[in-house]
Amino acid sequence: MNIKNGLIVIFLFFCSIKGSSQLKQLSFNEINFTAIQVTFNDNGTPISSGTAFMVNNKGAFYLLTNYHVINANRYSPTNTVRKRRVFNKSLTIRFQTRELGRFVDSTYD
Amino acid sequence: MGYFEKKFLCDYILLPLLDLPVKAISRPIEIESFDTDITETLGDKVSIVGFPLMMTSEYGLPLTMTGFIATDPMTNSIYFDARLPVIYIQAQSRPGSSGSPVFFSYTDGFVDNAGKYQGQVNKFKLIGINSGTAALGNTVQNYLEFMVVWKGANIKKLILYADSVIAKRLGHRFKTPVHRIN
Repeated sequence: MNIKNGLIVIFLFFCSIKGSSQLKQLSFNEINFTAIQVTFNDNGTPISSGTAFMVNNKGAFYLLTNYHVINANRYSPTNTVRKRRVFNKSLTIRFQTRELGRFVDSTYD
Repeated sequence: MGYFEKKFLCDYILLPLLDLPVKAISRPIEIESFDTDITETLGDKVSIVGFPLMMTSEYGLPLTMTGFIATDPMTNSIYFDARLPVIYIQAQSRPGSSGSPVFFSYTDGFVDNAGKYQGQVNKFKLIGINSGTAALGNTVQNYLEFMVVWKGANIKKLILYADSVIAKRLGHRFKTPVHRIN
């Protein structure tokens, strides 16, 4: 009986170690979740890719990224750099889901 | 999908998320993080979170890089021969990390205004958004080790402007519906 109880205690001890390490990993990932992968497409073909992140202003969410990522052209403040001609543009945003390693892609025109 | 920008001047853009996919989780940066009571200075260590060269971790999560503030955050910098609200960060930027948030995190203790020591305060401030790298040419070999970062204070102004424009159009402030999955 004592051996059985001892084994249960050891089993629970290892479960708690595993659980705490997973929690630590998740809490670290919560910081990383702020960055989102975005891809700019022309006629459904990816032509540029970059990073974006969400900003919350009292419940209103905005996605923030670079102008040159979303317009697939090179940036210059004077706009002297020639733009790439885009025929049918769309933006794919790769959102994280609650399951680690699973994503949901959302495409906007 | 509408967006807000400061065309020809700033290389950042704002897309209002009127809806999120049902399974998507939201981990937004609060707007208060743009101007917290901590002040970054020259040489401070910052974190850059993104997907350089489309690299990810095992679960498709972004990479975190480290850099150092190279120009005075209180001043503007010269970029493309123009005086613009950017700061330079000494860090490697590669294609794919455009748009990465740049954070300054503060984990040590400090003495507050009342003269009381506050230990292990974990705060972070959004310094800005990475726009790319200073380069001598178009190839990666010509990239310099300086990242161009647009300041968070200016981005906040654009967010507040966008909020007011959308409120005028809709007749009320918009709120992104967040789906809770238990």
